[in-house]
Amino acid sequence: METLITDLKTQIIEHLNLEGVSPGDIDADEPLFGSELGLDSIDALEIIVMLERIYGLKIKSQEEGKKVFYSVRTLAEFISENKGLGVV
Amino acid sequence: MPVIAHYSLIKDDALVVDGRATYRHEDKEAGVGAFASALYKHMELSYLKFFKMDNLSKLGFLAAEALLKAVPDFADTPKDKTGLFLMNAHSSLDTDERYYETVANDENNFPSPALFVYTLPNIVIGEICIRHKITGEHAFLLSEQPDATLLCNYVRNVFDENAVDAAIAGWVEYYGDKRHALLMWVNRQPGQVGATEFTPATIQQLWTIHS
Amino acid sequence: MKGVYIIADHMLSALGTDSAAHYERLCSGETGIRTYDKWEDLSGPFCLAAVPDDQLEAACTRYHIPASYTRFERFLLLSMQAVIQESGIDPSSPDTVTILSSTKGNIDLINPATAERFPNARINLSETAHTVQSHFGLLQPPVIVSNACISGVMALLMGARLIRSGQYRHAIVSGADVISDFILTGFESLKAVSPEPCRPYDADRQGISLGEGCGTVVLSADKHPGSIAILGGSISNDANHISGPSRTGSGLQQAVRQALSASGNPRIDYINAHGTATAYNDDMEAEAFHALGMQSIPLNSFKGYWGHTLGAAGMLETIAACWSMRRHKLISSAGYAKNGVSKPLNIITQTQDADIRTCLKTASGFGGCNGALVLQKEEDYAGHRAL
Repeated sequence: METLITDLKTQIIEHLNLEGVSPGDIDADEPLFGSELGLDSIDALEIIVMLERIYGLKIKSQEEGKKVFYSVRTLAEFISENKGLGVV
Repeated sequence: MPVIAHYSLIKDDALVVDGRATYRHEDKEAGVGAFASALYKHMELSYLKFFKMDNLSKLGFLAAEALLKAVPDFADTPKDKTGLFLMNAHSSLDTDERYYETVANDENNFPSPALFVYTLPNIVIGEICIRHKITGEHAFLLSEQPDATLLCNYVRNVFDENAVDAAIAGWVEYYGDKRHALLMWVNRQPGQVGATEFTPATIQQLWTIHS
Repeated sequence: MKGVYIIADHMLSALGTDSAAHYERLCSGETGIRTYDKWEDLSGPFCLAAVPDDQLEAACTRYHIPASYTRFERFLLLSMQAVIQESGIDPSSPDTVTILSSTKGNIDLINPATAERFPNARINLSETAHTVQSHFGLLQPPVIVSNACISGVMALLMGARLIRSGQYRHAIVSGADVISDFILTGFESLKAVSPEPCRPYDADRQGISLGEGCGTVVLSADKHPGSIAILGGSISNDANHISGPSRTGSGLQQAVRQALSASGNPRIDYINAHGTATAYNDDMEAEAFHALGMQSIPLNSFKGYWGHTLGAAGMLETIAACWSMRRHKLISSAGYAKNGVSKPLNIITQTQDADIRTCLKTASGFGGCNGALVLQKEEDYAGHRAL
């Protein structure tokens, strides 16, 4: 799980062009949105694309998205629970 | 009659403000990304959204930063009476091509929303407006060459209607790693030191000496 | 100050290939939005409002527009030819300016399969200007406005300003966009596309339906019987977010206030709004019209009829609003059944007779832009009531 969390942080930084942010700056348990990272709705859509592309996973509904996107840890939990169910 | 009170220019490796070269990038061949990041650091900016912008927006954003730093009374200009009128030849084609690579790739077909939102030329206007809280009249026009007559006539129409008190007007082009931005600060205060009347001829002249 | 009048118009969309056909179908409540199993190489289903190929061919034949032009160019050329014939103005006169509005022009040429027949440079809207210039023998290439979804409203305002200032006597203003895999995948990536025909302002709205088409008008300094005046207009920016509208609608409020003030603050009888049917856009408009105290003015969106036609939207919708004014009809807002915006608006649910003297046309788009125009039916038109 911890490896997945570190991977996710790196992927988020790369995909969302978070200049000057290192994985250590992101707290896995803190809310991803509304934090100092300044993420917006387009970033949320890019994370959806990232999940599909790297992990072959789709978010089914807005409600599910809200829970999954709460923090890096909830994202990691979603991935490890659903791995193997996706298209990859 | 409105005047050109200040101007900024980014071309190839240089930033020029009111005729003075204020920055020259060490590597003449540097791509726009490296150039823009270096200029951002040189200007000591702190605006993380900059790194999410596409190349056209970065270019226009930096040219506007440099221009507005040279405008002493910008803070006192009502932002709903500040206009923004830009032109270029290639629209957002550089980003259009980048976005389409994410669509047309058979193995890796994941259209990118973050790229798609930049596939409109007026997004650079939006970025400059967000940064400086400008809410006034604006337009993005396309023309193969800078059209000084059209730009001048239309901006003057908007001044005549009292829809703006001041405006940023100019050219912001990025395609094929060719970058060229010329932004003018136009206002209605004659008698300013060094101010030039805003006419097709003076715009053309400014354009010619810097191309 | 000089008046500016709309003296001729032409519409092309999924609803038809001339203005009269559009008006008839609007009155009978027909929508041009259909479900397609696929679009080009993309597998759907997609709800789109596309111009049927056979109708496009027939219209091109009527106006002598050959197949050597792209689909987007044919939209523009046939629509412009129609208004030139109707108005009898000389497009090559130094008194006439031509203005085109589009968000993406020939963007379908970015797909190598579509691009085969045409040179690469054709993808640039600045090149479209030359194509149109040589087709009509214009003195100057047309002015090109590309400002997201307010392009059409902006082009009309620009034309009105260029005439009002005395620089030109006539303006041919034309706005067009075509559906392409580029645009379709883009709006899908933003999760903004509705799986059913779009339902502006409705409680069950799920996003936009993409459309395509072209709308063209001739603006003139000379008043004609039945012409509609453009009293004034304004453009504003939210300065808030590049793709999301401001929650309070402050930018739209500013554009409407300025447009009304530039028009001498007339009483507004009818609003034709943007109404894309995304959650945020429609709520933003509701907030703005409430803040402006305009919530009880009858309001509609035409996007339930021909989808969101992007750079053509402001043109087509303004023309349809002019027909509504001339024919004394408030047209129902297609797709609307139950209020779904944060503050209720007076959405037109039943097409009905009404005397409409003035209309406010608004639009909003990516980049935080907003546009507003004030239209007025001329007094002498009362005599045409029997029409």
